[in-house]
Amino acid sequence: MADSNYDNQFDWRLNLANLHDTGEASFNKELAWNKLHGRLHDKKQNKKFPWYWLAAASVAILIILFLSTNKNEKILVQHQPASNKLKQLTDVQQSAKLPPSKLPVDVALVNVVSSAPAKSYYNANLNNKKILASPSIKSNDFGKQEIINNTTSLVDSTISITANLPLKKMLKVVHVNELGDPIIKPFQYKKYDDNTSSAFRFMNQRVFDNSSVSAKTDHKIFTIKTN
Amino acid sequence: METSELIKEAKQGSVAAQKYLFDNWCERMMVVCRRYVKSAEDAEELMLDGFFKFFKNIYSFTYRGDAALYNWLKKIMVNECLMFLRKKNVFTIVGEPGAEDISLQEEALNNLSANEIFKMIVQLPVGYRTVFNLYEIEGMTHKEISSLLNISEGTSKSQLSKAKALLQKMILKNIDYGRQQLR
Repeated sequence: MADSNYDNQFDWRLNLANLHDTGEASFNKELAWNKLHGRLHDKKQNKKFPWYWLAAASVAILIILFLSTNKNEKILVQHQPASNKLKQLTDVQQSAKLPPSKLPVDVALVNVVSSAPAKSYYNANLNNKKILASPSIKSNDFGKQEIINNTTSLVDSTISITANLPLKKMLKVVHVNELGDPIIKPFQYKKYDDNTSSAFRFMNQRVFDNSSVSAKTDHKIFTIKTN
Repeated sequence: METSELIKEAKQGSVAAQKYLFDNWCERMMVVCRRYVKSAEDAEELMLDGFFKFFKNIYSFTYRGDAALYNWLKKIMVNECLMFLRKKNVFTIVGEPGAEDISLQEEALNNLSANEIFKMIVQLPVGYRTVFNLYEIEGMTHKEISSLLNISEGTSKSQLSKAKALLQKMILKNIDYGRQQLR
């Protein structure tokens, strides 16, 4: 409080400050004290205090648990024997005489199985991730050439990879390539505009197929030329 | 027992010391509350609220004489009363700029007893009374009052001059009444 006009303190102010009894019916001191004492030493209030903090602490713990479970969401990556599947696919396509251009001959399928339902963007991206591997060409018993994926030794056993997903970080895509072959990026596949045959590049090699011709002449399904 | 010792013991949680302090100061604090709040029941409640806060925060108080203790207690009580008035929205002060500054007849006031002055102040309307109490008795400036009551400085000044004018009338009446009694 400012003392600007407090210096001019006259007696009437001091008298007023020292006034005890106003002449009116005074209040009951004992009753007033009992009220005050009850409020000052209220046991109920003291009991409320730890309960309040206990409730607050439990809420905090629940939040921390919820956040931590979300953070440590486990993703199980399972490698299926992709070469077998691929072989089956090629056989099916061969028997059905489908154009092999639609067949991902050089792609081994890896199923990514998440332990939690795909909630986030990262999980969704991980599902059905494809890993590339180089194929080899062999002649089968019937004299036909087959493209066999070289990932047989790689993926015959089931491998489980457990990865911890950070909450708001982009997940790095890991290419599993135990053979050490160079990984071919998807843009390296380039289909050439050819009216008679479909051709595409694979491992810097030009690959042709004569599926359009073979449909008419019942000749070999695959003809592979190298540069 | 001295007040300093009482304060020490009250800090340690002694109920006897708290009661002793309450008994010593409650009447004076009741007068302070009654200067702001007309209703005796409300004033008593506010006085108890003030003492409750005093005892809860007594650990932060350093005793430097009875005057310091009185000022500390009075400050708590005044704050309680102003909070009460603000909550109840009891007074709506309408500003009247250009109100002339009226000086109080200090001599006439000095001739009156504290009880008479108290009764005059209580009779003032709530707006006049609050500004008069804060300016003339608590020693606040108009700037402080204006920020405390959310009013302009001009309004505070006009309320004060009106309060003084009303008090002058009461004093004159009192003097006339006294003269009549003497005759």
